[in-house]
Amino acid sequence: MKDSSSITKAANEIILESISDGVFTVDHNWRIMSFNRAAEEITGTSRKEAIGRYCWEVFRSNMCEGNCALKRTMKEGKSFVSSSTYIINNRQERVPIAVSTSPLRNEDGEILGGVETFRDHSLVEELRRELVGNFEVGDMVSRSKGMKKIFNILPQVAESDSTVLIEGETGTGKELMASALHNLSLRKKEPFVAINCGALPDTLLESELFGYKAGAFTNADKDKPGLFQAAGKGTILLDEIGDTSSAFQVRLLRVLEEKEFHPLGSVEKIKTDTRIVAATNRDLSLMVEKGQFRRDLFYRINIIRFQLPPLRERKEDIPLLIERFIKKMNHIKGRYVSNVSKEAMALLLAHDYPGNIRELENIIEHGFVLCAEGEIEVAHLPGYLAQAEKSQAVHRLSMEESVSLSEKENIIKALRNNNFNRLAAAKELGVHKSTLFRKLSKYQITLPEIDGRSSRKES
Amino acid sequence: MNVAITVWGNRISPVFDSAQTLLVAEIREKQIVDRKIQRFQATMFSRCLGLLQELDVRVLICGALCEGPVRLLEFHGVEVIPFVTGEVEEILACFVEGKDLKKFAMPGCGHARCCRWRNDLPLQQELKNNV
Repeated sequence: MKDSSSITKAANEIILESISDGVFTVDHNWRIMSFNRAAEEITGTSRKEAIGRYCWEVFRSNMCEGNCALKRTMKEGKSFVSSSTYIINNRQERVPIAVSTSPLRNEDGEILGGVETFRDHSLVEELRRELVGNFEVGDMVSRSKGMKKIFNILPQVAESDSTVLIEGETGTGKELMASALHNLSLRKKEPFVAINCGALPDTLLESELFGYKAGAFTNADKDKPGLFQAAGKGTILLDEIGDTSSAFQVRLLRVLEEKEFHPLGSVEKIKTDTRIVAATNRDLSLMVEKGQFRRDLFYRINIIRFQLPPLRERKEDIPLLIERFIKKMNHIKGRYVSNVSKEAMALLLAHDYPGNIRELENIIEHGFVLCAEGEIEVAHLPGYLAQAEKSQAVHRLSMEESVSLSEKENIIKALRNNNFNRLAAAKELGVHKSTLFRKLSKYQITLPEIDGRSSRKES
Repeated sequence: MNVAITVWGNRISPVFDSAQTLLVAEIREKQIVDRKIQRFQATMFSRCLGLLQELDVRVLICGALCEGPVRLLEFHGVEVIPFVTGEVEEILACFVEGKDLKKFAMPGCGHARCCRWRNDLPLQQELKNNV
């Protein structure tokens, strides 16, 4: 018997040493009595140093001070399973863990102390990040089906060297996409330059893109290379291409076809090997039909076309984007904002985002101005979001009111039709008479002295 | 010079992030000339940093604290002595006298990066040379 109990004890020790979960036990004074191998690895503290010390000195969890699971277990004599928390190891790193606690009892059921088991969740966290990584290309992040399709073919398109047209509403991330295309291409070591064609008049746009020679115009006292030369073998993004003039479109078409251009005031052509990515927030095919955009240029740039969906059609991305913006702004502004509150998230998910991702980013930045840390609450968000929600609520209320009003009118009409005979009115309305009585009381419809039944008798 | 300690009862808070009380002691010529208790929320890190600056705290003695916040505090001129455990009064007395705080190191920190109770910390030197 003695032998078997010592074998059991030895076996228990072997089991404890071989498992990957950290396990330690404490006495009633919170002093550590045992500490297994995995606990040593996770905390970075050797068993020799841990035994006899207070558990909070070794375990160093954010739960220790105010929400100790082991304390609850010892107090209530109950086990608690899997609370998520973190500890700080001896390398000054946060280690995400899952904790379970149980009372430690002797053969008579007497509580001797507590046992805490904890599992390192770092790998789970890493895998979660990997999963998120699958939805990332460059600086773009998405979980939506539409974007995932784009992400899947983006590397092949990037390698193809073809001209790409990116369509999408303002703020959908056209420039980010162009940049991702460049960074995935073989030209990634070359420059990526972007220009908003819609913002400049023709002559200025041409001088920006193609450069000019000294003397080309007043004050052009020396040669100036254009963006095509600056981009070299890299990529140039021509944003808002739908807003360019017909004359400029002709010049651009020539560059695309001949792969060379004339700087302003020059008689010599310069060869170019720059990849062109065009972007627009307008429907170019419709513009072609209306004669507002040159058909030949459209077919020249419309080799591969990406349509970026607006944010209102990919609302599943909102939490992901919020997380991304919070992380970015925490880094830039040196803040510790953790997330947005549930109520704020509901409000953000209900909004339609005419300004798309840029608008969402601005909303989060607004939140950062008013919220230094913790969670961004509804009060930290721009007022127009709550206002829009409120007006929708008012609209919903007026719908309910109008239903009530119409019901009340129908009841009065049916009563009149039947000379205030309630049974006949209920039949006409297709409801039971008790329902009608309830409705009469609900709408406070006062009936005249006459009664349909008595009048019928009289007649 | 003002020194702040995160306290939990009569001991140092085990983890800075969950600390709620700060003891701020003013030290002059190896004597504590003033002390006050301040409630705070360590999770609100930038507010906490602002509070330390407002209270003109030059040294923070605390329990476990990650490397990132330590660097941020030090960048803002607060010298941090983390991974300290034990009774507040005893630790404060040792600190005031410019003594080595190594004996108050949390277990597992003896040879690791978290140990900051070296005697070569500028303020420790300052204390030794009679603040």
